[in-house]
Amino acid sequence: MRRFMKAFFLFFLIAIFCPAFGQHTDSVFSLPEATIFADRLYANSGFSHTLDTGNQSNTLYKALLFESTANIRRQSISGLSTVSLRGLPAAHTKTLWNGFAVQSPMNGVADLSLLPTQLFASVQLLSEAHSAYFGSGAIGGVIRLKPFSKSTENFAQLAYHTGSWGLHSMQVSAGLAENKNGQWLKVSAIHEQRKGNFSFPDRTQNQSPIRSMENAAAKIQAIMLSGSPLSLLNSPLEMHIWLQQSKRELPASLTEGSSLANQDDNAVRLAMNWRQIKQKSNHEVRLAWFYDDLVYRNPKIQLEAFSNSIKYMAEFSSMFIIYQNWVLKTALLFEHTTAFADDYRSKRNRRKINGFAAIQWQADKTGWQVEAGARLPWIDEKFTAWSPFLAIRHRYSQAHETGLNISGNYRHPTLNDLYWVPNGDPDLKSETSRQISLTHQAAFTEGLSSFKVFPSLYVIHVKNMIQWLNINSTWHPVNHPEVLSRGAELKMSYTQSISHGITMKITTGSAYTRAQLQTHPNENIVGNQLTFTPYQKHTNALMTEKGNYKLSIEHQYTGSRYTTSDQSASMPGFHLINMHLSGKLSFWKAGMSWHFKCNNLLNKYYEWFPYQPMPGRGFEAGIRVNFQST
Amino acid sequence: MNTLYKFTILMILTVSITACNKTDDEQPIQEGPGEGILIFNEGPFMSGTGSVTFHGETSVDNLFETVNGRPLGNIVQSYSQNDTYGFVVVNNADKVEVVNPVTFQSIATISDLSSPRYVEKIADKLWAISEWTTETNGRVTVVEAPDFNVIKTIAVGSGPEHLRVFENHLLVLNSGGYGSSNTVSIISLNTMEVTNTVEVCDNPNSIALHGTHVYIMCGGQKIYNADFTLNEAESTNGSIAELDLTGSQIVWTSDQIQFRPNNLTLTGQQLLFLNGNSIYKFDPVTMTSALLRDGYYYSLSAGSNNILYASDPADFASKGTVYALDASNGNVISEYEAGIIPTQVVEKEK
Repeated sequence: MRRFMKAFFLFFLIAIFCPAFGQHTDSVFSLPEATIFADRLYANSGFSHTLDTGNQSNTLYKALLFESTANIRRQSISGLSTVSLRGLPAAHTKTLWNGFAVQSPMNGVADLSLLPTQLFASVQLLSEAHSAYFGSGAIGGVIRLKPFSKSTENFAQLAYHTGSWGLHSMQVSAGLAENKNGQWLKVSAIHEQRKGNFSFPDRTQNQSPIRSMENAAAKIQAIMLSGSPLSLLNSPLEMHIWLQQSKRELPASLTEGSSLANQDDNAVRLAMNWRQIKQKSNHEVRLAWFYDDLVYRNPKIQLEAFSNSIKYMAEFSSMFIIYQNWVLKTALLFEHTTAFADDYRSKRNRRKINGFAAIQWQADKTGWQVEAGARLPWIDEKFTAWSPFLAIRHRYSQAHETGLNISGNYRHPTLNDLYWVPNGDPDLKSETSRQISLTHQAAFTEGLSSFKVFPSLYVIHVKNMIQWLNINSTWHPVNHPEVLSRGAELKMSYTQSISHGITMKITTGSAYTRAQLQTHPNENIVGNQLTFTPYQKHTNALMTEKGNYKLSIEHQYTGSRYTTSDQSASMPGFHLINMHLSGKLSFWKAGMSWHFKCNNLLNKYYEWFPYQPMPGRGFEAGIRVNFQST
Repeated sequence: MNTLYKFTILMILTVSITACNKTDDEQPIQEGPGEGILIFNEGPFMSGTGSVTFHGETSVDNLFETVNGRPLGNIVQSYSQNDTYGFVVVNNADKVEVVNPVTFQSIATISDLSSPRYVEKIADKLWAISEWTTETNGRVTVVEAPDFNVIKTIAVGSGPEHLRVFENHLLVLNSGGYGSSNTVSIISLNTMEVTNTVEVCDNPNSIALHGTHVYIMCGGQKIYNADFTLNEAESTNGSIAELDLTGSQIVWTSDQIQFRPNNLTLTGQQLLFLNGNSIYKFDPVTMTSALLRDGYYYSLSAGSNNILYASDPADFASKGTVYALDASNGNVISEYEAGIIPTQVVEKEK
């Protein structure tokens, strides 16, 4: 144990002294743990971990900011926020809620700033390709937004949160515990708004005068209703209703003129799950209906653009124990999408049927687990790239487990790729990729201390990657480029209980990514790193807890990112440090917690996109009151 | 463990303090860079800033920023100059930077414009700026040196682009901007009012004065069917119209409907343009065109001594190249490294 402690602290100190290294996540993520998701019968065979989204006002953007394997891209304080995993563009990370993609079928990405984490039971990050399990787009990895589940107590919760630059957030939640008929209910509603008018040095002007960000206000209102109102065939029927409305202003970059642009995003998402668990088989039926619309307005040019999409989805999955340690998993997915955009000139439809089958063998005592399977997608009346996989895991002691994942993955063109007038291309091929990923997980516990380490290596080769290139002075999607992404990821955590009831936890994570264009019409850029993809990101966290009080400091370093494909221009790397203090107290059947947070403690200037400054030092504070009864 | 704890916090604070920004020790240029060529680069699509590249005895990658200590802005659209002033039009920044054309030091910034496109001198101390304002309307704003205050705005058609003075009138090409148009607005320089709006061909985009003749190049219009195919019956080919102050006449039509010819340029006595990104010659006597040089070019600029500058934007996300060509045969005389999306070349005399 001691040598692991030494190794860990050596790594930690190196990380601190190397200016390219960063640090922390304050208890932010519990170290990766192998997870088999009960809510999905054919859930994954890979490693994942759950993000600690905290009990404060949050979006998925904030939750992933201090995650070393997640490369954030944010166009402005209120603009589109996306995440890319393992060096690939954002459309190669699949975001699922209740197992269904919440990405726009039009541009293929999910906007992290429109995903309030208070609406989900947990957020799980899977940095591994998994098209066989999760379908088109799961080439870099998967983010899973887990819906609420039943609780054992009735509760009511009220939270208020305020902060710099006009941040006000209110959340009301309530729940009824499961009764003897298996019925339960949870509801969570949030209202959050901010002005976003932070001050920043305008680096495009001499002497960098201090300016206030303009046209950056945003407001989100959302409600999530989950419950099980009835049973069918003695198995519960679970329903989830998610309504959301957001309004936001879109600021200009420092090199643009003033902006009056704004955007509304509305969503209605309904999902229904029914699961029957038998002794030798499980069956699950899941139905969903998603409606999303977007209105973009730019009064300066009297432009108003509208788009919407409607998706119907049905998934039937089963898992059978066919012989001793052999399990057969099957699934069938139906999906129909209708989308309209002013630039499509008419409604566009997409029909998908996906078949999935896998067989899993798990040894009794030797710790081996082998799983192989494939997904076969049928889209718009033709079969496209299929997705086979082989996953091998071996737990050779209580402390060590190693996994190897070899898979073929794919991503279908988005509706914009296909139908955007005038240059969308209905004949685009689906992207295909091959991935090999090797992961090790080790966990040691001795006395009052524990140490976990989680290294992984991967190679992903993507063919027919869809990229919009300027041809004849207009932008066209083409299949041309190939991309090779290789990298190494390492996460470690050390937890120590000290005297006087103090617990200390240190976590650190590093990701090194080399994502290169292999082919391109411009031969001069072949071999170059993909734009906006840092070679490295590092996170560190220090958390200490005593009784009801917790102090954490989290730090991240995102390395420099090229902004031009010939690597002639780049954005510098930057450090961010956040500090978070929280406490809680209880009285009668109520509990109260409070927190205070300082974001960007050192007031560092940073940008995710060129000339789009992000906020400097800011403060947040909030309280939460919770009533519970059995 | 307490010691370890304190030590760790100390380390975190250490990294915070040591993570300082690099200082910029580049010195501004005090004098002009001399004779050479100026390349105006639009800059990266959607983000970043345009730039000016200079090649002469020395080369400067980003002349404006080097001289003035600040970036130009997003997106550099065009440049016009006389002996006293240079006007860099920065389209997406809604401004025109006025510079000393010799030193490139900033003189003034004309701001609060609406998608400015081109600048033209129309009288002593008076300059006209074309602006896209809305989808259906455009305007020409007249500013007066040396303060560059706006003294007049004149409503014109949609998407006004190039401006050219001809017979005491200002010709304004209404390109359609975000939509479509087929007109040229004619503004009297005596009254500063639109005296006529002449129909030309669909989506006029460039203009050349050849002797007493005015030629307007039109990109044509593409109409798409619901199934995404090109509606050839309703689409129009690119064309060249000859214009006078009362009307126009189409004198040449492209036989390739998929292209949008543009960048009509007078170099020496030769009319040249881009069609399908290759360079073509237009013969105003026979009213025919002929391929001068095949390739992929984004813009053309006229130089002295029968030199034509043609820009290659590479992949539009990395540094481009400008070729100096012999306008009579298309042969490459020399080539220059440019910035991101080179759009115009101007020869600098001193």
